[in-house]
Amino acid sequence: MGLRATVLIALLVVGPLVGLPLSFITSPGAIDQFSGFLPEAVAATFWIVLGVGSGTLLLGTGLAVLVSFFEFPGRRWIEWALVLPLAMPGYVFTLFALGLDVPGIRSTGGAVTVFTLVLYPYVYLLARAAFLSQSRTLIEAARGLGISRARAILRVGVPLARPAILGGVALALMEALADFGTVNLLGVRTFTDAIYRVWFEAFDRDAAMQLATLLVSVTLTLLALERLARGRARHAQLAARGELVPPVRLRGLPSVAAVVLPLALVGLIVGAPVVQLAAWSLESIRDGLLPVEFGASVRNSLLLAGMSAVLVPVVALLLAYGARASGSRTAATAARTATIGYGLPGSVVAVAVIVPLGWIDRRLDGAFGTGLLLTGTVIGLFYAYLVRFLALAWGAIESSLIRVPRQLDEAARGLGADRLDVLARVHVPLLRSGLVTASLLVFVEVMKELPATLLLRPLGGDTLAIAVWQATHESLYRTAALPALMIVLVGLLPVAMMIRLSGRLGASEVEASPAAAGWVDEPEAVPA
Amino acid sequence: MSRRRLIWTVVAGTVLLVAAFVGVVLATSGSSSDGLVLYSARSHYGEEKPFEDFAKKTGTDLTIRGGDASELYERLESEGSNTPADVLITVDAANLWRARHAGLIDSWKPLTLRARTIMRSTERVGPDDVTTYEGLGDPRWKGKLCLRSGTSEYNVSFVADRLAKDGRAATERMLRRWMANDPKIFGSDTDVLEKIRDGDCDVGLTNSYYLGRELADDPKFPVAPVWADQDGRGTQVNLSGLGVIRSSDHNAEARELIDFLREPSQQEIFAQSNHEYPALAGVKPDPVMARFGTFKRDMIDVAGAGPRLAEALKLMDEVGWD
Amino acid sequence: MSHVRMRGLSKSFGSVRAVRELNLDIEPGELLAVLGPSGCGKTTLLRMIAGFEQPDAGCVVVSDEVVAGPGRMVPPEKRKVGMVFQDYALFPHLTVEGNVAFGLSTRPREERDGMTRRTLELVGLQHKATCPVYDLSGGERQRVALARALAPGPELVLLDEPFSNLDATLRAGLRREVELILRDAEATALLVTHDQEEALSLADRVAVMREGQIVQVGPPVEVYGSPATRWAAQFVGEVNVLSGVARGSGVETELGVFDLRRPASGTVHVAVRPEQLELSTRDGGGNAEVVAREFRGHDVLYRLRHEGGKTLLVQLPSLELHEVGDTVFVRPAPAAVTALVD
Repeated sequence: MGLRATVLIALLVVGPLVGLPLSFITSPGAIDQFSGFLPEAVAATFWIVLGVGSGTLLLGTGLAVLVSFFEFPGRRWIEWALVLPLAMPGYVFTLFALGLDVPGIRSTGGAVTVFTLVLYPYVYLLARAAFLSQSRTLIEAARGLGISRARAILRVGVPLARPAILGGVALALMEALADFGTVNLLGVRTFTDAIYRVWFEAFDRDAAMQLATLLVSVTLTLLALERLARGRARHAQLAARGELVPPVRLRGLPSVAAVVLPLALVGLIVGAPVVQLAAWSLESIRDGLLPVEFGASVRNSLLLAGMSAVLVPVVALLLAYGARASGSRTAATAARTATIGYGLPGSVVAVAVIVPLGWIDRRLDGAFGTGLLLTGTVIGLFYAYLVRFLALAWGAIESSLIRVPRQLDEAARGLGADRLDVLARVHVPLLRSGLVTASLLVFVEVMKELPATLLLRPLGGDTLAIAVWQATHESLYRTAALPALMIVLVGLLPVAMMIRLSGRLGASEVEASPAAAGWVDEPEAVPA
Repeated sequence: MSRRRLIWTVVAGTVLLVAAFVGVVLATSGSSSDGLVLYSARSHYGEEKPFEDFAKKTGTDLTIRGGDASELYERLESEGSNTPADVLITVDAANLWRARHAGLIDSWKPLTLRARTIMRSTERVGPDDVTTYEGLGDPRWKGKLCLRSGTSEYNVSFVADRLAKDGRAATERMLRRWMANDPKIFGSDTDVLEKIRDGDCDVGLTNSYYLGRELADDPKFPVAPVWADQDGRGTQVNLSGLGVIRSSDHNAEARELIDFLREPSQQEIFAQSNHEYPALAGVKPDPVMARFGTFKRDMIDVAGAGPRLAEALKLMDEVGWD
Repeated sequence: MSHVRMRGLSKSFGSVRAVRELNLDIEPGELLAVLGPSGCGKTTLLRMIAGFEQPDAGCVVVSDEVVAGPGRMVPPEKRKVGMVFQDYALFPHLTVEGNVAFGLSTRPREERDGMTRRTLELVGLQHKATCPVYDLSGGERQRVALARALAPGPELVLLDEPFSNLDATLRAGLRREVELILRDAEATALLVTHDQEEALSLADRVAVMREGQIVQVGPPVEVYGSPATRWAAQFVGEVNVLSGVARGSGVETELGVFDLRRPASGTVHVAVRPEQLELSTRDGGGNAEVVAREFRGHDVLYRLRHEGGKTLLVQLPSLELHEVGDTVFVRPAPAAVTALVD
C-alpha cells in the first residue's frame, strides 16, 4: 500500500514535467523561430554559472572558515547573522539596487553580484555544518606533518568539506538559473526570461515548452556533474570522529576585521534594503501610491502561503510514510523523483502544469459546464506550488522521519499501541519539529514565488510578489516598497526559527535547509 | 500527543482548510453575476476616477484585473468562452488589433491618445538638433541615446507601425543606425526621462504622458518633447482603447461603460489625470502638455501594424535592441 | 506465568527458508534461551512470536490462545508479549518513566503510576524516573527497556540479543541483574542469542537452533555435556571429536579411556571438551607438541598436535604454563564423562 501511494504521488507531481520534452515531438521545430534567443540565453547561463558559482564558493566557504575555525568577539551573533540574506529574495534586492540607481546594475555582472550576495548562505550553511563535524585529529595530523595551521585548514579542512561545499554551490546555481524576477528586471536574457517572453509576447506555447526542456537539461547536467564531483570525495568524511577543532583566537586588526566585514555584508544585503524599503513605504503610504488592490494582494499572499504550508507538508508526509512503510527501493526512488520539481524554475513548472490542467478543464467543462475549474482558480496554482516545493517539505520531514526507526513502531505496538496510537504518541512528537520547519519553509517560498504565480494566477489572485514585480517593472519603486518589505519580514521568520531551533549552527540547518530536499545529499559526517 | 487530541486536530484542521480553500476559490474565481469584469492594462496607473464614477452612477460593480497587455491577451485566449472578462482595455492599439484578429473582441473604440516621440534635454540639446525619428541614428548621438527595452509593447508597436508604413528595409536601416549609437537601454520610459535629466544621455524616445507626469511633479524638469517628423508624416500617435469581449454576458452594461468613458467630462478627467490626449475632439487638453503646442499626428495603422507585431519583435532582436 | 507452544512453525523469505517446521515449548516462569549462529532464523522466530511476522505455516499458542495460526493472526498490540530489542528502541521524546508507562496508557492514573513505580524499583532506576533517556548509560538503558516490557505484566517477555551492545566488562554483571529481575517478576522469558556463554549461564533451558530448526533443547548442563549432534557439540563450546571403541560404560580412544554417559558398544565418536583433557611433562617425552597457546587470564587454551596427526584443544588453569614447542603428554582428565556424537 505504501508503495502504491508513493508511486501515485510521484506520478502526480512529475507527470506534467514529462510533457515538456514531448513538445519536441508534437510540434517539432517550434523553437526554430526563436533560435535567435538561444545564443544569448546560453551565454547568459554560462556567465551566471561561472560568476555565481565562484562567487558563492569563495564568499560562502570563506565566511564558513572564519566562523568555524576562529574565535573573535561576537562570533556567536555573527554566526547566525550571516544566514539572514536567505530572507532576501533576489528581486527585492534588485528593486533596492534599481531604486538607488546603482551604476552598472543592469547587466549580467549586476545579476551575478545580486545572486552571489543573496545566495551565498547556501554554501555557508553547508560548509559550516561540514567543518563543525570535522575531527581535530585530522587537522592535527596534518600539522604533525609540518604544515602550518592555516595551510592545514586549507589543505585538509576545506577539501574534506568539499562534498558539502559543492552541494551548496549546486543549490545556489539552481536558484540562480531558476530565477525570473531578478534577471527580468535587470534585462539579462536567460532561459527563464526567454520562456516568459516567448509565452507572453509571441504566444507560442510549444516553443516555450521546448525552451523549458532545454533549461531543464542544463539544470540536470549541473546536478549530475555535482554528484560526480561529490561521489569521489564521499569517503573522506567517514573518518571524522572525535572532538572538534579548537578555534584560534583572533586579536588586533584581524579580530576587528572579522567582526566588521561580516556585519557590513549583512548590513548591505539585509539591513540597508530593509531601511530603505521602510522609508519608501512610508512615502508611498503618505502619497497614496500603494499598489492597486493592495489589500487583496496581502490577503491572497497570506492565504496561498498559509494553505500551501499545510497542503505541501501533508503530501510530503504521505510520500515519506509511503516509502517508509513499503521499505522497497522502488518506493524510495519514487519519493526522490517526486522532489525533482525543486530544481526547476517556477516558469517551467507553470508551463508544464498548464497543459494537462487545461485539458482536464476543457473536458470537465464540456461534460459538466464547470468553467475553468483548474486553470481559472487557485487550484492550478496550488498544483504548481506542490510540484515546485514538495522537495523542501519532504527534506525536512524525511530527516525527522529517519530518526524514527521501524523498531520504535514495533516497540510501541508490542506495548499495546495500535497504528493510530503509534502515529499520535510516537510519530507526531518526534516529527513535530520537522513538520514545523517544512511548513515554514513552504510558507516563505510561496510568499516569494513569482514566475509560476505570474503565469497561473486567476482573476483577483495577485500576490505581494506580483505587486512588487509589476511596480518595479514600471519603475514605481516607492509603490513596490511596502509589499517588498512585507515579503522580507515574513522571510526572516523561518530563518530566525531555524537558528533558534538549532542553537549552535550545525546539522539541523542541513536538515532544515533546502539542501535536504533529497536532491542534494547531506555530508556523511553529522555530529553524533 | 494522545490519540484523541490527534484526531481532533486533524478534523479541525481539515475543516479550516476546506473552508479557507472554498473561500479563496470563490473570492478569486468566476464572475459575479452582476457587475462588470475589466481586463485592463491601464491598472497600474492607479485608481482612475472615471471608473469609480461609473460604478457610483450606475451602481454596477467593477472588478478590474490588471496586467501586462500580453498577459491579459494570453489569459483571454486560454480562458476562451469561459472567460469572466467583459471588457478589454489596452494601452496600445496593436494589442487591440490582436484581440480583434483572434476573435476575442468584436470592435473597439479609442479611449485616449498618446504620442511616442523624441525627448531632448533642454539644457544640452536645441529644439532643432534632432527632428526626425531617423535623426536619432545620427552619429552625434553616439553614447547619448537612451531607449526603453526592446520588449516593451510601445516600442514593438512603434516598430510594427514603421514596418507597415515604411517597409522592412527602411525600418531595419533606421533601427540599425539607432543601435550603432550604442543606446543605453532601460526598463521604463520614466527611467529614460530621468537619465536625460541626469545627463547620462541627451535624447530618447518615450510616450508623451510620462513627461507629463514628471513635469507635474517638477515643473522645472529639464526635458522637452520634439514632435518628430512634422515635415513628414508626423509624430506617431498610439491609443489606449477598449473593446467588449465577445463571449461576455454583460454586453449592454459593457457598452454603457464605454459610452460613459467617452463622454467629454470623463475624457477631460483622463486627459488631466494621466496627461494623455483625449480621443474625443474638442475636449480641453491637459495644461501640462498643452504648453508644447499641437502637432501633426501620424495615427498608428492598426490594421497594418497588428499583423506585424511578431515580425517587429524578431527584427528588434536581430538588430540587438535588448 | 504462562505456557507458550510453537508447532510446525515455518517462514520463508523468497527462496530462503528462515524457520522450518519448528516445534518448541516454553514452560511457565522459565527463562529459555534460543542459541544459534547468525542467520539461523532465531530473530525470525522471535518476531513471529511477537506478531511482527506472519508464519507461513504452523501455530503459536500463548496460554492456550492461538495467536498465530492458519487463518488467524493476532496483531502485536493485542498479544500480551513484551519485547526488549537489541538496541532497546527507547522513545527518545519521553523520560524514563514515560517510557515505562507507555504500555499502561489504558489504566487509570493511580494504577498506572503505581505500576510504573514498582517496575522502576524492580530494575533499580526509581531515582532516575524523570531523566530523559539520552542521558543514560548503556546498562541503564537496557534496564529501562526491560522495565518497559515488564510493566504491563506480559505473558511472555522476548529478549533479542540484549547484551550484544554492551561493553564486555559490564556484560557479566548485567546478565546477573537481568536474570534476577526476570525471576523477581516471575516472568516467562525467551532470550535469543549467538553467545553461548550468555545462554548457558542465564537460561533454565537452552534450545540450540540451526538453519531454521531446533537441534537440541535441554538444561545448559545437558546441552553442553551431552550435545545431540556433532555440529551442536562444536557450536556450543569448543570440542575435540575422537573416535574410539565403546565397551559398556567406557570408551577407548587413542588418548586413553573416557567414561561414557550412557553405555554403548562398538565403534563410536565421542565429544571431549578441552577441559576434559590434561597435560603432563614426563622427562621430555610425550605424545603431542604444543603448537599454539592462548592465555585467557584464569585459564589457558592450548592447541596441540597429537602424534597421530590430530589437532587437539586442551584447557587448563593458568597455574602452570607450557611453552609453544614443548612436547607434552595428553591424556583424559580424571572422571571425564563424554557423550556420543554422530
